[in-house]
Amino acid sequence: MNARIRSLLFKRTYLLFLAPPLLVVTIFLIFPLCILLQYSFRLSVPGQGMKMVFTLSNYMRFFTDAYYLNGLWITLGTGFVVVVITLLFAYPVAYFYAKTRLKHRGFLLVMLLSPFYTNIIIKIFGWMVLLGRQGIVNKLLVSFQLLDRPFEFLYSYIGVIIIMVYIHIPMMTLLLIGSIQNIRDSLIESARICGSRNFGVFRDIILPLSIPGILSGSIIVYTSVIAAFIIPLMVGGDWGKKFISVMMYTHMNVTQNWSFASAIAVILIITSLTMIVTSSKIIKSMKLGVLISEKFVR
Amino acid sequence: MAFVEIKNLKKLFKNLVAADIDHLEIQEGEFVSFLGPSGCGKTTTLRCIAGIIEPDAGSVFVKGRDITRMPVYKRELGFVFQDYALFPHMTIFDNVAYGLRHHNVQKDDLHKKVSDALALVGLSGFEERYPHQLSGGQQQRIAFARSVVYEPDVLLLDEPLSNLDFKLRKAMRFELKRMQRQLKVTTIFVTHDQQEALSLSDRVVVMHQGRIEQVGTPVEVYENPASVFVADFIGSSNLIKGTVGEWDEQNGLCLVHIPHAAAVTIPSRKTLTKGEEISFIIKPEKIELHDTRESAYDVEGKVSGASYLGSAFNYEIDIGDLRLEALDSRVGYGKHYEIGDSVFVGLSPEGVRVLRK
Amino acid sequence: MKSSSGRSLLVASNVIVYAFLFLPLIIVVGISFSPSYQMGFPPAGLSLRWFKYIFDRTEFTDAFYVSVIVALFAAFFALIMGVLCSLALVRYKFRGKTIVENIFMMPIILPTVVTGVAMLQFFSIMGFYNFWIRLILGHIIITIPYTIRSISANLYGLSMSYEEASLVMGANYMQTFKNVLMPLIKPGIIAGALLAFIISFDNVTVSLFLIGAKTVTLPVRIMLYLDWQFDPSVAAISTILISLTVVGIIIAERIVGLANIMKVE
Repeated sequence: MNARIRSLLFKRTYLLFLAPPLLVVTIFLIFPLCILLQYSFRLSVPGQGMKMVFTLSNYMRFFTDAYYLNGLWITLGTGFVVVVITLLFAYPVAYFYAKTRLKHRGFLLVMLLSPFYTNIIIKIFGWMVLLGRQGIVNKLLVSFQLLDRPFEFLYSYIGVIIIMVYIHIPMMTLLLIGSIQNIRDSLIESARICGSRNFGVFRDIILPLSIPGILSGSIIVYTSVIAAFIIPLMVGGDWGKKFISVMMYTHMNVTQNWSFASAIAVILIITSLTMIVTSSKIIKSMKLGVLISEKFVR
Repeated sequence: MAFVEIKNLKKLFKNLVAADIDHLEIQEGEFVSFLGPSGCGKTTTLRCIAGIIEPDAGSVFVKGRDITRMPVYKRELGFVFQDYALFPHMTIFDNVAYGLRHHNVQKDDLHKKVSDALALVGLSGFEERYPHQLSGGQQQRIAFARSVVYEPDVLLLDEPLSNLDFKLRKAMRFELKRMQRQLKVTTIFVTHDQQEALSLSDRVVVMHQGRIEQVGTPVEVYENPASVFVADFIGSSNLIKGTVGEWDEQNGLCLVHIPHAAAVTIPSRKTLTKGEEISFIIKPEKIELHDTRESAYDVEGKVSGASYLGSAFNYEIDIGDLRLEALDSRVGYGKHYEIGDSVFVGLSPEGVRVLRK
Repeated sequence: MKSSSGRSLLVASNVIVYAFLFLPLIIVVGISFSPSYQMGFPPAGLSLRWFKYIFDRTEFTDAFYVSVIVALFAAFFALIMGVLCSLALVRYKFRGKTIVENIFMMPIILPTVVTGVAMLQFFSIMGFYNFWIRLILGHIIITIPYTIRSISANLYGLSMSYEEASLVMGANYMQTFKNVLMPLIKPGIIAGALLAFIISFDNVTVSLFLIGAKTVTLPVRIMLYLDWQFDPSVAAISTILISLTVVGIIIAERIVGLANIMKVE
């Protein structure tokens, strides 16, 4: 009987299961990515299409032209700024949700998920209304005499940052909630019993133990920001055009320089993969270890 | 004045009584166990003492001062959690030193105290390791060291042995007792394991449905349970219900009619009246089995189940509708019975305890 | 038992953040009832003219149908792929499993815009001009990771003993799958389907590269509309979509519990 089960469960039937999805993903994702990689080493000649030569000129162009390099730094820098601000907003929200005994936690979660699952275009539209020249934010600032005339938030750096932070707060919060919830209450209680006060408990126990969550949340938000495309395209103005994903889009759709667009895409992939791999190595090396007793976590 | 005193402590969870302690006193240096099944309120009471949860009513005194509304960190208590709660991001040294750092201990003193505590639990030299590099038993010792190093007034232990395997648990029991004796720290130990409670404690507090059923030394609770619940929980006991037939006040003997079984004569310290419904208990190891009638107390029965436990034989014996459990430790030299054998059951008087309903 | 000052600081910061999160949504809903072209808040009066407007103009309703159809197809196929994949990844041990897992997670790891560009190049080279199928295929690829995740999480939590017991009692693998496994992973399947539908319906970045003239999804349609016009009609559509989102979340909470739709990234 046992042999029969083994044969049914461990035979190569997994290939049967795996084949269809693997085929779909290979044809429609991996193969296209290979083409993209291949294109990045070709030369697009305007009006003549793709020249089938091997060249590094697309990459050379990107890394020697100050315009593109500047774009890369702006993109990476924006990612950093957005992550830091988002973290500052999201952490208290996540902490409050994860560690406070509340009656209406389900309601709070709906409050978090509603903006999270609302379409990005709608969210951007909301901010276009809010931040526009005639928008509420400008009206308020002028009426309180903080500004003498309306400020152009949209199509500028500030607008993009505000909207990016806004978009990523729910995501960051949801990612942090898990890691803060994983901090067992007994750790916090035992720190208190040992004589530690509220701030001490936060500094000694909660904050260090949520660092892996903070890191992984930050990296997910960071990779999302540096690949962000819709926000700089819609409300970034001239400044948004310096975003590498927007540059790629422009070369794809406007100048039709596919090989250069592909090279930018490859650079974008490599940048975010490097971030992900490094951060996961850091998290693993932190050796927060698995306590034997974790099996008994309620 | 008692070292620890609990008065009218009450805690409700959603209108359900989780703990309701009228009065309990614990002396300095005493080792007291809260014993009971899960949900009996033992952990709730312990957490109220620790300040992790706030009682709805009542007060807790330690050394005469009311700590009921005091913040946790000011209570001067030690607490060993069921899951040990060692800080995973700190070394063993930092874990043990954590409490000391919050008690304004000077640096040189701190090192000495930490190494003393580690020596006490037999883990000197583990300072630089992390909790996840330790075995379950070692983590348990560190948790103990961490809780006693700053010399708390009371040490609270919440089922600290329950996550260890059987052999280790037994070894740690002796260790725990040794260390507690050495430190002379007043200790409250919560457990659902009656063997742990009996072997470790100076006194056992048996709890049931949030209330105290009985407080007494291990021997008292075991030998002279105050209620049916205690008798049943402390050791597997035969609980027998019957009606008083005759009551011999002079000799303290009572003839009890057990419905659909037999009439037996048992001793009783309590005064009974004829016709009264009573319960009495007899522990399995106090039941003697004979091949033939050997005394007036013997009742005839039939073996309906038999199993060999290594150190004893465990029997089920039917007397009419009554089923008794017996434990016969005469392994090796005594004979043993098979299912279907007729036996005479001797309810030895010193083993019988009469309980009122 | 936080100290009162620390706690009030925490509560205050939460109130501010939640207010920040809801501010644009409230504004959008508010101005959708505007009686004029004015985008001011609060609106000068109440009217449903913009709701009537969007139903009169077929470009939005057409786009809505496109989005729904694409999302339904994508969710359906992604679900099948997800079940097959999860079974293989959770229930079998084989070499190269980590690589296979990472391959399926690629659409999440890769910048979405790159996925869009790569697929656009591929379809153009192949001369593949059925835009419906372009969109659906693109959406299947980006939703597969989500169905795999929900179903795998469910499967991981499920002891293998159920399947073994069923097999021991003489059911064959198909029967076991149908009568034991399927009912047990139903929560994962429902959560996966919901998630896939939402991800597909909400997607802009990949859609933008795969749409055709007659197959524009709703979010892309709104985006293109905003390029030329800025009036409360978009607010009216948004109000409808926000309501659907909130209702969807509440329904999801009732059916599968929110823990299952919290898996973001």
